[in-house]
Amino acid sequence: MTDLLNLFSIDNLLLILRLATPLILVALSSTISELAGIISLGTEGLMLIGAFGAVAGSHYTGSGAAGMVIGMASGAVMALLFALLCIHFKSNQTVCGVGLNLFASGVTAVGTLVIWQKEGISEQVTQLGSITIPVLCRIPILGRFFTEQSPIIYLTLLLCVLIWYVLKYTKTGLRFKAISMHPVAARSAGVSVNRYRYVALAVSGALAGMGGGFLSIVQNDVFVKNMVAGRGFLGVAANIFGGWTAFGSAGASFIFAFAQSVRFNMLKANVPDQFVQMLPYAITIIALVLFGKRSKSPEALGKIK
Amino acid sequence: MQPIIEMTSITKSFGPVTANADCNLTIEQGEIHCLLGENGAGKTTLMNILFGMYHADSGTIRIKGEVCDIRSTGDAFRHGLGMVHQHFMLVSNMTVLQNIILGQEIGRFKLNYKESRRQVCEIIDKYGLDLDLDARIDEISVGMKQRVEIVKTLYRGAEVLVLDEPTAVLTPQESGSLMQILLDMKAKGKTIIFITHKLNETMQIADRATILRDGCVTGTVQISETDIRALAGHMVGREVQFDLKKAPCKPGKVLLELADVKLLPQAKGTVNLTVHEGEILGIAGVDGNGQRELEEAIMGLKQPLSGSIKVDGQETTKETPLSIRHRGVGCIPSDRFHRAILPGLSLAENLLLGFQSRKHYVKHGFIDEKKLRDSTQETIISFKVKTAGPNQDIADLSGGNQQKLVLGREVAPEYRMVLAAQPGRGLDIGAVEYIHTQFLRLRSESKGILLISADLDEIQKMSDRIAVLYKGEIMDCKPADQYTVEELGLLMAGKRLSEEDEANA
Amino acid sequence: MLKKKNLRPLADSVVVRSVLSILLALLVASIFILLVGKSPVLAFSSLAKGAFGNGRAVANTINKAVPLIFTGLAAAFAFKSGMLNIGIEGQLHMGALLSIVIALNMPPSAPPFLVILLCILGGIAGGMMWGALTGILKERFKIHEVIVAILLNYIAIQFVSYMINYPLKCKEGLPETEMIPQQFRFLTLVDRTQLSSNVFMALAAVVIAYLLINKTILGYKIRAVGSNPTAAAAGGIGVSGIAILSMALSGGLGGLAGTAEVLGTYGKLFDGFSSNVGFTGLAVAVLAGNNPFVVILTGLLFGIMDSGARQMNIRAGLSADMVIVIQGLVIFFVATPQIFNFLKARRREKK
Repeated sequence: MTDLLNLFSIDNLLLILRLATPLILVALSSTISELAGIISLGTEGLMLIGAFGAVAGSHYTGSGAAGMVIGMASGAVMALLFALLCIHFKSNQTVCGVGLNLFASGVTAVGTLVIWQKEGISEQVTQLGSITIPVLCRIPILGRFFTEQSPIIYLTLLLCVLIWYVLKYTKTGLRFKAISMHPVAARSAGVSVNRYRYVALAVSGALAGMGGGFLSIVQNDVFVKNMVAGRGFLGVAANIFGGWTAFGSAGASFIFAFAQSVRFNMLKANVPDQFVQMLPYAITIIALVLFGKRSKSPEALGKIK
Repeated sequence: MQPIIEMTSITKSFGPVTANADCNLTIEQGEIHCLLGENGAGKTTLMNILFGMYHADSGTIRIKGEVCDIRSTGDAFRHGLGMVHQHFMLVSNMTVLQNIILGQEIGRFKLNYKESRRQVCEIIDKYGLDLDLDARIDEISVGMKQRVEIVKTLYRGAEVLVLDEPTAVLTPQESGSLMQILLDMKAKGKTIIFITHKLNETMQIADRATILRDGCVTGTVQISETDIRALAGHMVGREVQFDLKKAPCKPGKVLLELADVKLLPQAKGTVNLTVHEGEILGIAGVDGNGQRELEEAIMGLKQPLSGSIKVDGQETTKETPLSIRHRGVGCIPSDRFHRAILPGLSLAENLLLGFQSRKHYVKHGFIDEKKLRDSTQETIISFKVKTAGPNQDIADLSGGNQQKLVLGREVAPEYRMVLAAQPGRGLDIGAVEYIHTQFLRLRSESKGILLISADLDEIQKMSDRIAVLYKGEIMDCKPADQYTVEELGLLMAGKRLSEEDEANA
Repeated sequence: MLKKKNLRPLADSVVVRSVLSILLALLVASIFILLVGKSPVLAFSSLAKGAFGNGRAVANTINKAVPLIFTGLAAAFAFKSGMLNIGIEGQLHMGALLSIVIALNMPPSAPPFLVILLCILGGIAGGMMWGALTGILKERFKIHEVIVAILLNYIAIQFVSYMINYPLKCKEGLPETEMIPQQFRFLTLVDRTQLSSNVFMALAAVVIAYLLINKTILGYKIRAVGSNPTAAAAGGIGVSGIAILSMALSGGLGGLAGTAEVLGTYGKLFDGFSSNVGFTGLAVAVLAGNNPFVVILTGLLFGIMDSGARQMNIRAGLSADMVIVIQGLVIFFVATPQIFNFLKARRREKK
């Protein structure tokens, strides 16, 4: 029973926040990509490339922050190449996404061997450190949220609000909405649809890269082969579950993070690790079954004209 | 006076297909100019080039005497051109106002709705176009959507408006309103290009007309100096039959019966109709009034909200599409590319559709390929389908030939009743004539035909009895010769003749 | 509009595009290899040597190709019905699991032929069940099949891992199951290699898959749904049922990949026995244009890459994961046929 209550303790809530951050980032990445009309199955690969880029960047510059920026840039560049294939060459987006995941897996593994001469795991690098926010950290109980947390967490939540605002109230957002529903109409209204798509994919790649960087140089200080382990796909699922909106993606990510947190709390119980590992995925399926029917995917998803 | 638009020697190909070949078009300021031609003649392509959606392979465009290179719709706007497309370019989950300002919004980052609203209101007041700016596009009528498209062009300062088949989706009365609006705009100095395949419209509203056939311009005429037969001649290149000889109707027993069928949630009434052997029942009405639901209900694809459907006296309301077909009901759906053919599969395999569970072509779970191929060859010959053979991919055929194969499949002897929805849409006159001839043949063979069409001409020409569908309700149903065009138009708009009299009194 | 001329330029051919995709991938990979300071020539030659340097190498290469042929067939089957079966990995695991459970629980005196047959059926059943689950969740709850399949993959892998490490764990305490009795395994065809008679099972599967898809009415219905589900429904085909059945059959083929590995190659089940063969199967299928017979060739191609990777590592000093990079590149190019459009233009100019 105490185990159950533990799930809602401050410690666990902080854990959930830390688990949710990379998920929110990839979910947002998926949201933006799919609103632009491009299926985001390659998110897993983009996240992995970002994770690797961040570690490599930190290795060569000695700075965690610089590493993170490089991680984001790697994600953005890879996403732009993917966008070129999908938009200009009208690739089969789903299959191409699978290719991206495979390619990323291979290229990062090769890169690890090349840079550090080690198979499957890099050397340790400088992390992107945590910060403490001066006044807010004094608040009783809630102050813990502002003490020794990664700035990326705050940045993520801010990005979430920013994206929501842009989509709802700005010129860019209106045009983007039109592109997601009826790109031909947007084009006939004078909107450079493809330019918006490329920009969107670059942003999407940077977000996924940030998510990957969080895994590699915030929560850890190394790159491990295939360390993303399905979180990219969870992000894609979170976006679908959240109805292709910013707050929806965030909300769904928190739910999945909650499911993941259960795993950490059950280590004490006598349940085989495999069942605990299954839990987030099983909960995701149940959640999609119960709630997934609500939203419809953007009309123009997957169709580039 | 210098023409406002001059298109010279425009040529455009898409792969091996030439859409426009050396076309010349001159538009005078302040006129209404019709671009006339059959479906597929190249009219829309030519205007899309003018509007920057496509780029011509060769040729020049002059606007007000200056050579212009129009590479995007933005360029077109800057030159004062505006286009109202046949398929509306509107985003369904955005409001009318949002759709109008899209691409030309006021405000650098944050949208300035207040100022946008003011500017748009100015326009709709000036031209007397009635619109609710905050309604969502998916909640307004077709006529209103069209007005939104018109306002979009005016908001961008269009001096020349191009309208692509605007009356295809309107009732006769709405068409009349549109014509009035256009004449009004002409009076206020706008120039109008009107793309159409309808001869009487051209005669009614145009000052001049340019006719296209098979991608080439076959003539430019002054309307006051020509007549409908001459126009038709330019369009088709041969004598056009305006009257089909129809034998009198000899209806037999009831094949299909709909009783108290509710198609749409918002329908105030229900559908009651019968189709007899040897008759053609025409369902008139503007698209979107329940035609699709009627088709799906009869064919078993989607159950009606209530009511009963009987084929040969047997209840079929809850039956599967397969069993309804096995009862002898065939269907030529309205959107044939999406709902009647299997692209990527051969003609033979397409002919199999609907028969896959009959013993005809199936032996112990395996397909009898020889028998299927022979049947397909027969159909290709009888229905004059232009193709390389039964094994050709159906996606390689032209629209008209695809429709002919679908026709050949659905008029097979196993089907005693055929539901044909918009059978002539998107086809050239020759193909349409052929299909109509086939329908009359079926009728003389005591089969029943339910013809659903938004084309009033087609309905009046083919039907023995006509029923009008409006918002899921049958407004009236009686023999074709008892209707006037005016009455049909009113019914299609939801008004009964008596109500109109009262309104006018 | 003027009628379309019936041209089929060479660049439209699936074969040409597939071959070009492979060549382009090798070209790009060579650039990568140069960037890390190694020799592409040495890399590819050691790959080739590793794959068919001697008789045993060839046998091992063919063996590596077997599961790829099954997963390639599975993916191709699903593609024919218009769906992407990204859950082959999970279906493979479930098939392997059922096969080994049957094999380990049969009395040693049971007739081998019967046991093997039951294992095969079990493998098909395990994969079919997992594939059907994806199909049902998609059709009944309208969840996107890709998301569901990916989640089911993880669940299957974890579940099988649990089974390996707890109920089925071998006596020595290693993370693997007991070995299947020798008589219940596929015959080894070439001494001291892993090649077994599962090769024949693969070839049989190819023929059956081809006949099923192209000659039977069920195959017709599947292809009709794959071409245009709306038209198929209007023609009286039960689209939902066919979708689920296709996923199930596709899953069954994936399950056989697991059976092939368990009964043939390894004789036991252990964590990580699969190495992502399920995902590579997608590339095998797309590269083969979804043609069952061509899948044999493309399966072999990927088998060559997997088989030669170790030699490439040893002799050319290149990470074995470079092979995965090449596979990813091949998928990029084969998924993007329009990249080769420049060929069409040139050909027309020559005329």
